[in-house]
Amino acid sequence: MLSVTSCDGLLNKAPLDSFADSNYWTSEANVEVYANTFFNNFIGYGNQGGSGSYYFPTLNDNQCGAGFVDWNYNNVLTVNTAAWNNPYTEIRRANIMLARLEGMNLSETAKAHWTGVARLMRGLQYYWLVRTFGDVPLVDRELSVSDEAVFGPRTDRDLVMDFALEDLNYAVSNIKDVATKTSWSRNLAQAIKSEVCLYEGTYSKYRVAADGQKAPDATRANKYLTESKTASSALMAKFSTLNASYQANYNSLDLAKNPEMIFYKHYVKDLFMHSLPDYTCSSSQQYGMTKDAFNAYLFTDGKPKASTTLDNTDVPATLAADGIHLDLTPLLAVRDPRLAASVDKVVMPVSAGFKGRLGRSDDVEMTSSTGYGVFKFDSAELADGYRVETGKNYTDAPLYWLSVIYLNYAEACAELGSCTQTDLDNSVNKLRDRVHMPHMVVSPAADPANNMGVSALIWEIRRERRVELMYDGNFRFWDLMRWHQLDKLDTHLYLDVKLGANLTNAASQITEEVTVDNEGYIIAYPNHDRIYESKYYAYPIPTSQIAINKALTQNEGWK
Amino acid sequence: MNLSRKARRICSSKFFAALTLVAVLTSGRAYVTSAAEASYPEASMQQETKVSGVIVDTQGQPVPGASVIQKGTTNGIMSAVDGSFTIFVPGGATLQISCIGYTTIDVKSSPSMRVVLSEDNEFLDEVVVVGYGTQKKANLTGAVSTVDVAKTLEARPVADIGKALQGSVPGLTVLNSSGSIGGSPTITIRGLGTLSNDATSNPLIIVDGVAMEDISYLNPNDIENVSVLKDAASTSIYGSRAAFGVILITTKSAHKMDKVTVSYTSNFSFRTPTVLPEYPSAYEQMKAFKEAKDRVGATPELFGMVINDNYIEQARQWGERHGWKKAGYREVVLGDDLVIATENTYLTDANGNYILDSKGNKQLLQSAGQANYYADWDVAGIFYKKWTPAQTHNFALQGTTGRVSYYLSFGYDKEEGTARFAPEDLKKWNVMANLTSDVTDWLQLGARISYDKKNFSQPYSLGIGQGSLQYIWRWGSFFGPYGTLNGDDFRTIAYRKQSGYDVNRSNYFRVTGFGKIKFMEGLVLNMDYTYNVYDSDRRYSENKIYGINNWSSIASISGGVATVTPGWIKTYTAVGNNNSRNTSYAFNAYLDYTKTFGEAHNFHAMAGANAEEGEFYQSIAYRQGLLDMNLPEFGLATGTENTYNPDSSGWYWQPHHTHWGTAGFFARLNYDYKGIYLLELNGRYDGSSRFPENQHWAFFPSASAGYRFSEEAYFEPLKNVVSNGKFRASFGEIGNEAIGSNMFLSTISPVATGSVNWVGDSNTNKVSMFNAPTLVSDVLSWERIQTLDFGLDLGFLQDELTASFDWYQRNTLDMLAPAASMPATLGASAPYQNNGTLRTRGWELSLDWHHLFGKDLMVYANASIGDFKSVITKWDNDAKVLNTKYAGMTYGDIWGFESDRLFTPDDFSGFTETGEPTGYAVGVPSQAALENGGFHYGVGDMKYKDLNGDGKIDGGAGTADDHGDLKVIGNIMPRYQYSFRLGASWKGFDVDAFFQGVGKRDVWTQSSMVYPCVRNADATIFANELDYWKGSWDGENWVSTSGYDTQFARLWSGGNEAGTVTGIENGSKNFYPQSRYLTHMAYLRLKNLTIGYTLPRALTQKVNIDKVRVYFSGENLLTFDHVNGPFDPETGGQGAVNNVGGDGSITNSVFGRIDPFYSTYSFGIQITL
Repeated sequence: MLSVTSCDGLLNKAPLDSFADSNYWTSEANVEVYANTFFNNFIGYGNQGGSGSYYFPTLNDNQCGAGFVDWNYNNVLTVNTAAWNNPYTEIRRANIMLARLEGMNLSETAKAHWTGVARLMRGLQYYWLVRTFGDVPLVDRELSVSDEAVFGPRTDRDLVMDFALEDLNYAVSNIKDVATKTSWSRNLAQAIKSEVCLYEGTYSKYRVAADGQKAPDATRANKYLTESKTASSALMAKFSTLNASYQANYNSLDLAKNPEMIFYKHYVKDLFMHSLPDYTCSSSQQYGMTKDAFNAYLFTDGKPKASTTLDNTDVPATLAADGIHLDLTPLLAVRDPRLAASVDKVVMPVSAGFKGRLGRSDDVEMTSSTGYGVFKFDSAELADGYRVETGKNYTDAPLYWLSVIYLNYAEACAELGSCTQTDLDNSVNKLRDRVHMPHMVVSPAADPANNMGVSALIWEIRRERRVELMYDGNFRFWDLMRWHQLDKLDTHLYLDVKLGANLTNAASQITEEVTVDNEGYIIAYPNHDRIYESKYYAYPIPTSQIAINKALTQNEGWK
Repeated sequence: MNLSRKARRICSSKFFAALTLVAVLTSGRAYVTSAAEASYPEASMQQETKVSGVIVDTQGQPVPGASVIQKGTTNGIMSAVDGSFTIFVPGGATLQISCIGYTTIDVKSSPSMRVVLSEDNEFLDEVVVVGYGTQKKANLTGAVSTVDVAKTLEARPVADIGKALQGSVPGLTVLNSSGSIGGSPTITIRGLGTLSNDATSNPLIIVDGVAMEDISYLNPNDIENVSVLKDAASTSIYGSRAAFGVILITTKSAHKMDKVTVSYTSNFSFRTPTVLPEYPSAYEQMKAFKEAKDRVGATPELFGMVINDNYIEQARQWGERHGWKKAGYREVVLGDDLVIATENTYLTDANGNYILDSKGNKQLLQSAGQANYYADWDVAGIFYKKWTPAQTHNFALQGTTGRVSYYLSFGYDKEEGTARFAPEDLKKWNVMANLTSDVTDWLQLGARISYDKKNFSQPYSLGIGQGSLQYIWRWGSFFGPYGTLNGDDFRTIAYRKQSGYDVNRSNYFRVTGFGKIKFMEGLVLNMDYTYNVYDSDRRYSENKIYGINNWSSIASISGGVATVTPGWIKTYTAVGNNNSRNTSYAFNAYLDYTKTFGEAHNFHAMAGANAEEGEFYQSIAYRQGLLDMNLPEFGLATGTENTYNPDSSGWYWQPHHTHWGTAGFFARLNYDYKGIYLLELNGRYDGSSRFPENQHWAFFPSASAGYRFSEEAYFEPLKNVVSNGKFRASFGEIGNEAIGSNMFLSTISPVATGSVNWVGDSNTNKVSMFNAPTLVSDVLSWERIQTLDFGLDLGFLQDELTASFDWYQRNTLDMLAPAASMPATLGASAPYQNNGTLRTRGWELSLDWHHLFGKDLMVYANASIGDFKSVITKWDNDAKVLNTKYAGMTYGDIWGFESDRLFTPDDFSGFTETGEPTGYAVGVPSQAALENGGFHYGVGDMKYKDLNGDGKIDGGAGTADDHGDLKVIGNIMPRYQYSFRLGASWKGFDVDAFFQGVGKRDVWTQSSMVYPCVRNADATIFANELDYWKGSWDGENWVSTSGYDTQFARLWSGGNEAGTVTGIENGSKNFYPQSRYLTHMAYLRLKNLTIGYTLPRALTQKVNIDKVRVYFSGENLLTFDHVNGPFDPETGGQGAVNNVGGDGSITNSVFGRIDPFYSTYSFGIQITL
């Protein structure tokens, strides 16, 4: 009777200002903007006013922050949920991308490239999950609410990491080999693989059954260390030049021209900024360097504190030009120059703020929990009004760069037991050259400070890693984790990890308001202590998740 | 019960012979329609002759608006106000004369006729508009109420139809949250329908067959009929948009008339706030402020002013100097109203020695340049006008030219806000043209065109942020100050005056074409097509503010002399625009067939189809940095993109674009056997674009039945008393479409600009990002609403008294809500699922009575009342925390303690040397578990009842299963909503009083207007809060100067915050949610009183005017309530909605800081030519 025939057109109303899943997957450009969201995983120096992964994490022996005493995962309910939930959100993002790509009409190379990107991100997430929680549920496909896998149990960590390695290997073979440093490239995949496999190789080697972990597995360790070395080698073949300045890796406005950058996070003035320099140059008390870290630096003769012929005291004896602050210049002059790039030239305890780091009009009084100011990230290039301002800093953040690959490479070689002088010269000694430090040799002299029970070579390679990557990317915590050295964070066993600069020669009005130990070292947060237990080798599974999914079991020590 | 019908009925009275033209049309239209349907084409036109006549009732009074139809044709007209008519018909043709309320008769035409109509006492022909048609009221089996349009909408100083409908029919809830002239009320039918989609359960509003979202655009004078469809049996014909009832509005249509009628009505009104908050003297405020702060141990400080004893004494002296009168808006007198410090002063003790802090430093009392304010300003008097004018004009023209009849109207309405400075301004224009043409006797074509325009302007950002309402009721009457200094305003008034304009201009254009084809007797096809355009354009400019910033130092000091320094209080500027365009069309076609078999079996069948489609486009833009505040244009501003903080700097642009479609095939079958057994079946096969492709369509059936036992033979003996009696029952199911956008569709949306990184190959450009597809449950189905309704209609004494009762139960099944927690391995937040059931039960009763005393005095009275209660019967939440949703929860319940009394010294076991209790006396339950924030219960504090008898007061686990001493102290839902109307007419006079009320409604607010000094940051006290406990510890005993029966406990600044008890609304210390301070929002108010006088026709006829009526009409003239604060009992819901989540007005104590409700006094005139 009536011409109401076009009902389908009437009722099929796809959303106009968002895509439907069903009409999104039509072009490579759409896949690209979908994959762009993965970039949010690289926190770098943080977004706007938020914290980043450099400087801010203080669960290590390098820094003392207000929360340095916390084993981050003590608060099961509030802390761990994000560490557990967020990776699965990203895994779903990747799984959906993988599923949709299959049905798309793209060239084989394009399809392989984007499949590689999705698998790279999925592999990275599983790495983050496993190193945090151990066994985790393995989700390899898009789940619907009625899929029984939603309520699935945890999968053995080794199997999950093997799954991740497959993803990474696919990525390094299929992601386009392009020169970009701010987007997807085969180099980025290799860099991630280098890190993940080094982690898994050393973890498999050093893990301890008595501490609730699986027994060490030498075969597995060798396999992963070899994979790591392969990835590092591939990058070393393509990148051969370090940036001339060590500190410029961290405080430059643009890393585009930096020759060693593999992947970095670009910040733009007024458009997209962070707060890292601000936190280390404003009146906010800085999470200062520990005495333990300070003394880990070699002396300019290439020798450690115990054997150097240079003045090895860490007690500053002179006052700076302002007549108030202790001067660190003489101490820094005889140490690895990377220390001078990392701490200020005066001691700035909470009782005596220091102003005038860069001699700029926007300098404000700064203090540090340990007295050692954090200098590394401050930048003279930041405009007035953009330096000492939360959310207004725009220095670029390095995410994957050649220095780290050199460190990975040398360590993998050493752990495989095959490290040659050439290996060292091709890697860590290039880092030494940059800062005019003597070369590392295959058989270094034993350092009495070696408390990790490893060879002198491995000890020196680990020192090199610590020094080069001071404050960086939470490397130190995960290094201690994979080396099975978390006990080094215990403030009772290792007193130096909560001590700072020595105030013996400071004016009494400065020391009065600061707690120091018998020898005059600043005790950061004197009422706080950090006690090690073996259960800390795995975060607890969030109890809220166990409540929802009865198939999940809690980690040892957290039940 | 049906007031519009009553209006028609009383048109028989000689004193109502000159009813308004509108009312005449109302009655005429319904009949013409039905008469036309009943007619059939006749062979050929014969020679026509002129027939003139007059129609009178049995008392000889003229009957206006009676329909005169040449029987069997559509040729017809209506009688004029004097009962006269003229019609051209073939000689000897039969005329059918009818009027609602009278028995229809057929008479043979003659050139000059006098027709006498006798009254019809049964009114069985009264017709009610229902979905896609009309229905005889007697045969109605669903729950349908009609609004008395004449009394509800005409000659009332209410321009918003929604507001006017308040109390018009039982079961219809109209809630206004404030007296803002820009606000629209929330309208619901039979209460809360669903908990999905933020508990939105709005009714579908159909205007002339087409949905309309905002009826505030309509001109009340253009409305002919309003029906409210309440049960599923009545609404299912409209499908899934009608899940929570339908309001059917019909505008006036063009009728065939034999003369041109012009009417003009106008109304001038004056508004005055119903209630305004009142502060006590500044002296009293400061005393309380200090007392509350002293007890907390905090400095009684406000913006650098330390309200110490000296300050209070100065305020007292100001009061004495000024005879305790408050100051109006005037020039501030330095040295009297305020004193500016010329140097820093410090706290001293009684001997003049400095009081040092723990570090040995002097404590700043007042810094140089800071003012101390002593004057007591009349805040309400300064900010609000006593009287605010408004006016309305309506002009209508109708008549018939040839075969075309027309109704044209023009309306204008202007209202102004009650604020004295920069008041809101609302102007509305309505133009309507309705045309009908009887092209042939089987074809009718017509058009309805309407254009509505509304301009609303207000100061930018009023009510939020720097809005004056926020601040004038926040810090007392002394800290404004609300005068000028050297002509410059202080902060709050400066903001109000200078903040810039915010104008919303909107246009509603609607055009409808319709046609009606009569194929044969009883078979009619109706078709209509409507196109709607709704444009809205909001533009605002944010200006700089210049004045004296009393939030800081106001003077510069030089040589010991203070110089007041006005300056820029706010320095940035911006321009904003929100532009939207909403277009839609609707097409309806339905076929109507009526047939009677064998006198007894009456069938009426209707079937049709409907299609609607709409599109919405919106563009929101904002840019800061105006180069010239007088030129707020985007091109003349300098703001640049800045996603670091997109809301406060630079510019942004946010476009939105959506569309929708709906379609349906529907049918209805009515059958009755001799008018005794009634049956109605409805069905709609409904399609909605909101659902996924394989679920677009669903079928919604309903059925209703009636039994008119009064028509049975056995009932005959009772019929003298009970003239009408009918049982009704109905049941139906409807799906709910209003469940939010794309809830069934997995979408991929752009990541918000603010979180977009600059990683990516193009370093200087933003990288676009898209989110992962939303997770849609793969086991999702429609939300279904089932309604069961039983009704009883009774009429007594020839229906002089009628009664109607309905009981109903509505089950909302499979409500959509976020699923119970899902493992994070799912990778997305838990999607919506069909999660719970809500059951609402209610009843409605209406009574209607009228009587004609003698021949002059008509008296009528009617009343209605309704109630409902909603209970969640199923919800996936085992924990049952009180402020979450759980099975068994009565929606809207407020949990709290039962207040006992104030603690006396006897309640404690002893006191320390400073008067602190050492413990509770034997038998007195400990309230230690309720203490927080340094507060300890002591003498003069609130004592709660130990309801569970465990010797201590607590809230248990704050769950339904373990709630300690908590109980349900009230409920936020309006209960027992009622209204009644009393009216009479005598000769030319008419009077009508309409009362409306709510029997029970509670709110737990944190308002500073309800509790003295409740908020730490404000510590405000109002005039109604002075009765608080006063006393002190004399070193040995507690001595109270106020006694222990005061309304409020001992003061403590900061009782509005969350206490130690979980699961309840905020409130702590003496102000935990509790029975004593619950705000009862029940009220009864004289919503409208109208007194009119119609000039004798003999007089007006001399100047060729049919009718002149002058009237007084008042709104909200009387109110009875026991609200415990200085706000109107209708003050709404913002933040007061327990368990649903508010807007912060509870925790910030801002409840009551609204545009005041107002009373209106109006005078009007209605003239008909």
